[in-house]
Amino acid sequence: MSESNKKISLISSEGEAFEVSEAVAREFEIVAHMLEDGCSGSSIPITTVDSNILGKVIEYCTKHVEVGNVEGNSEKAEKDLEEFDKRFIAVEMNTLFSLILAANYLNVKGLLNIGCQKVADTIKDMKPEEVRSIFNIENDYTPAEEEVVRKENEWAFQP
Amino acid sequence: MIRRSLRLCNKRRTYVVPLDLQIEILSRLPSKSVVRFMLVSKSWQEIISSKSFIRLRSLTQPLRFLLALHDRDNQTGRLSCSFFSSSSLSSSSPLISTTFLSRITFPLRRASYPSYYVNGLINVGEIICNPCTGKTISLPKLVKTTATSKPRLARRFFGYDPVNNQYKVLCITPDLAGHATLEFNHYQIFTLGAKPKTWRFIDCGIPHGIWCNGLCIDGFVYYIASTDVGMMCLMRFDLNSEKFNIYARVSEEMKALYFHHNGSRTLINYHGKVAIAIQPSHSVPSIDLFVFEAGKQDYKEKSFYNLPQLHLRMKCVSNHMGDIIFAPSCSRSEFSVIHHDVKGAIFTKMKLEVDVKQDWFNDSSCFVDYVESPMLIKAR
Repeated sequence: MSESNKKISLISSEGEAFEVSEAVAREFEIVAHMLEDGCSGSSIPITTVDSNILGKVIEYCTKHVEVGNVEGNSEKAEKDLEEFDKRFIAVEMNTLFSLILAANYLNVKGLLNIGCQKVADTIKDMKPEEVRSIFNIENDYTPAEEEVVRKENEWAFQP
Repeated sequence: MIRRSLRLCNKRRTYVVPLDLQIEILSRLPSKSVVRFMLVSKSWQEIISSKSFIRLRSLTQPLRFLLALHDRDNQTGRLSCSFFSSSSLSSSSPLISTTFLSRITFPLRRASYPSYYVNGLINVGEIICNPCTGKTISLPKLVKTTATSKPRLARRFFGYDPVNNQYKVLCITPDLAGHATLEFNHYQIFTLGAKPKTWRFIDCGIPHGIWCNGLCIDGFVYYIASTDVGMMCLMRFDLNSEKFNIYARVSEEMKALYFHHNGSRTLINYHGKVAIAIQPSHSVPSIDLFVFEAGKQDYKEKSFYNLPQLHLRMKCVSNHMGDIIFAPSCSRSEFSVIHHDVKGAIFTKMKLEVDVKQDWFNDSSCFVDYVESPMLIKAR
């Protein structure tokens, strides 16, 4: 099993190297594709992700690879993983968005999934103004236009 | 430390969440939030009210259980309908809590309409409503084409065409000319959202009369009918091409059970096939299930004996797993359904907790594949 012991270095935007096993690196679909395309280098630059976030994404992938390798006792393992995901994603908004953007770029589907769900869960009871500031969206409605939308959908604005 | 916080500040200003991720996040929100967030910006409003977004949500949102309870106001005599939803019935708990969605009151006083549910919307009588928003739209008045046509005796079917993403109502009106022969029936279509808001006449090459309520699966409406030559069959109406065809023949065995005077029968979606559940009499605790296949005669798939709580008339619905839910067609405030798990062949009685004041309802309907839809019906 020399394949799985092979180490690969992932280089963050600051130039910091993170050494991981090939199995973990392959969780990044973008890296898996590079490896399949014959990119033989042992270090892969991830220029759009900083050390802090890259470290976290690696932590997520390492845990999921570990659990995936354990055979039997799947129900308990699944529960543990669920718990891990829950704790892992309980971060403040800026980090959460950085994780989602990184997961999107690196194509780590599981992380993208729990990240988007976490954002949805966090914003679901918010007011439109609060959502604007989180997504940095400018309000392009005039007060009159705003009133029309509000009136047409009154039910959605009631508690 | 200082450097990091500076960087965060920088990021905050230039933070851009790509559009596809915004849509991904929005599609995971409950309907109420999605509709409220139309106020975030004009581009969000555009995304949220687009057909493609509504369809994306209907694919990703979890299936829920929808309960419609009908009651009558004693003073005005008007019929109302309250909607409740719960998470899917697949859970093992025998007690299921529900959430009140909305309540609508009908403009007309009539006792029982069939209720149809398709893809987030409900049709009851002359009304189409969204149980999630409580918004309703009235169907246009049927035109009395000849002196002998009887719009009051019209039968309606409600269907959803996933290919064109359209909701349509098919209406068949008898005409009592020529001693009520079927060839004088009128066939009309109403497309939700189409302009002008009127019924369109369509041709039907197979004159037929209707024997039951309809069932919509994958863009087709099915119902039991009898043709002008007296053949009983399962009729299929294609919502896309708007053509009728005879899908399957009805067996003598089924026919014998079908016409018991106090029996009940429901078309259900059984593993993607059309099936009919017949309870010959509500004093008999058994239900027979007949399955239809294209071009053939129906066959008896199975019989259910000794169903608990069968002193009431039952309605049946089935979910995408093929489990069957037996529900009473009228109910006290304690609302129970029987969940029949096809794999384990067990019956589980499940109680739905419903927060209502009344203790008696005229009628109730359950739908197991309910998806919340922000589909905006505009009354204008």
